[in-house]
Amino acid sequence: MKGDGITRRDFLKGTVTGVAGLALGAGLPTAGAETAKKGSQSVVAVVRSSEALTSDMQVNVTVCRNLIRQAVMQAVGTANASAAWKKLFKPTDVVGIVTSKAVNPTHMELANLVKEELAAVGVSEQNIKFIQRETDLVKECTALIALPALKAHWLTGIGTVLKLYIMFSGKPSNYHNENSSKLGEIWQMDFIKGKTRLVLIDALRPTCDKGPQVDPRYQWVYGGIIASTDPVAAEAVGLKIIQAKRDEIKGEPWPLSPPPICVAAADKEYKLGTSDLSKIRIKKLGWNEGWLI
Amino acid sequence: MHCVISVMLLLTAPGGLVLPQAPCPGWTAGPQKTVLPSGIFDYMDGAGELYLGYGFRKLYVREYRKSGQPTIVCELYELPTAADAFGLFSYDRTGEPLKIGQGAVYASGLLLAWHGKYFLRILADRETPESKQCALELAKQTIKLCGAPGKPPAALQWLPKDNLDAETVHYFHTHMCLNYFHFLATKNILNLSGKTEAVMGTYNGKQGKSLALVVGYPSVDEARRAWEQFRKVYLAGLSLSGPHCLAKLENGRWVAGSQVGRKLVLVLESPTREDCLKLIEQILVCNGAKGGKRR
Repeated sequence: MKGDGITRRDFLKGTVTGVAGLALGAGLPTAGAETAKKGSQSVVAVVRSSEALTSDMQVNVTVCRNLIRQAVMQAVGTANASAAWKKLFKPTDVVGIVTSKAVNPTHMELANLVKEELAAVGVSEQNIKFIQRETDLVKECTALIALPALKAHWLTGIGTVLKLYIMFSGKPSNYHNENSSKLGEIWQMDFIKGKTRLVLIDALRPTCDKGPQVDPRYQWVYGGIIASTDPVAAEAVGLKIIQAKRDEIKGEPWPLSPPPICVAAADKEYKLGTSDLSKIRIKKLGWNEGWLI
Repeated sequence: MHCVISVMLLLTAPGGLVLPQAPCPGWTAGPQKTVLPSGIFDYMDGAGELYLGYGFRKLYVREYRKSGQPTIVCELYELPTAADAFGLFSYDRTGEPLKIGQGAVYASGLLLAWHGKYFLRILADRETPESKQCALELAKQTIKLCGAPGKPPAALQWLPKDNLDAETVHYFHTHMCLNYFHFLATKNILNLSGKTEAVMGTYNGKQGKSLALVVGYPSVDEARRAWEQFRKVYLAGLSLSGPHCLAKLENGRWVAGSQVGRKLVLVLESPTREDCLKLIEQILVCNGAKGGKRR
């Protein structure tokens, strides 16, 4: 970042690119299963059902179990879900399932379903931890599953995957606003680095404006699970969905403010994954309305 | 008589206001919490900065439950001034307008209102016809606790009314709030703080919308420094023309600015050169600059 920080003009000039540029309307090619390049390294599965939530917004556990299995299978590229879980986790692993608590919390029913899947492939129950802010538990884990809910955030633009570990830094306010570009730094901390083997985004009912508190005006039923082994690619796809929904609501470009500068930085500076949508292979399955990608 | 005595008890209860205890038939009120600025992050992790940005003093919270209905959370924020209460209300007025307090909207289970130096936020975790009815009744009863009406920010007068979309007007103080409404820069290049007042609004024109921002500083010198910094950081490399530093941005839209006394006037984006120039001159005249010229 230059000495004067980033200004809106940097986006207009194209000196800030990637999905952060997209968020200020710079425009990027639409990605999707149809446009993804063959041989892409990053795969993101988006699996949806119109019945994932009941009419009173309760989690339909049976439907969501299937969504999770389909999503993980597609993201890992195995013939069945069990093989995907086995490929990612060993029975000897201590697995932390990290969920989000603030603003648009993760549906904990999903965390329970993930726990069941892990148990089914031999991870013992005492070695599966539910984690929100407990840094000590993260240190005990050999593997992590990031399970945030899809949401915009008023201090970081997007507050989903990359921001999920912010409390583990011990200094969350150091990663807000202009410093949100450094969120990827947390993923490089000794006790976190390399542990995240799977990202599952709870996109059952995302929120596309930034709060700061829950705002039902900007929540909608998407009925989706987004899965990837690449945290940045998963975030980029989630961001694309959020941005598209915002534009749909306003009927014109409605950029996220502040811009989600953490996503491109996680790719370019911290090498955590792929933020360029044109290099991400998106596999879409299920409910065929309102995809937004 | 019983009702009168009850209301008096509520108003005179020690420690501040007491939110309604039985606003709707069949709904049970939980215990009331009072949150001070020092405890805001325990109550709403990651969200407290918005309310701190308006200098909130106290937050009263109470939950209401009824079997088969969503939980309703009532939050009443006490601000230093009525202007600040309006400022919080102004951050997003999307919804059905209501005649409650000095301004209110309702949408999808969320009710927002302001009255005097209080900002009210009532949220049902999902919307039902009964939860909406209860939220409206709760709002009416809560607003009665808020005392006399207050004056909206005098700074609203800094924006001329012609072609102004009143629903887009925001009143705020801090850089964080500016970036909440419109991302300008990661750094606080306008030196916004709790001591500055700012109003921003959108103007409709034939060629499109223009966005204007007026910031009032404690002194002329501080306004000058902010203007110099804005030119140095934000207008760098642009070809500036005229007394208002009119310039074309990389997206083809126009920007202009000027200092008038202790105020900084900016048209941040405008569809045409003519619209930009006309708007900034209107705003400058509105703020006391003769003929739209800088002082």
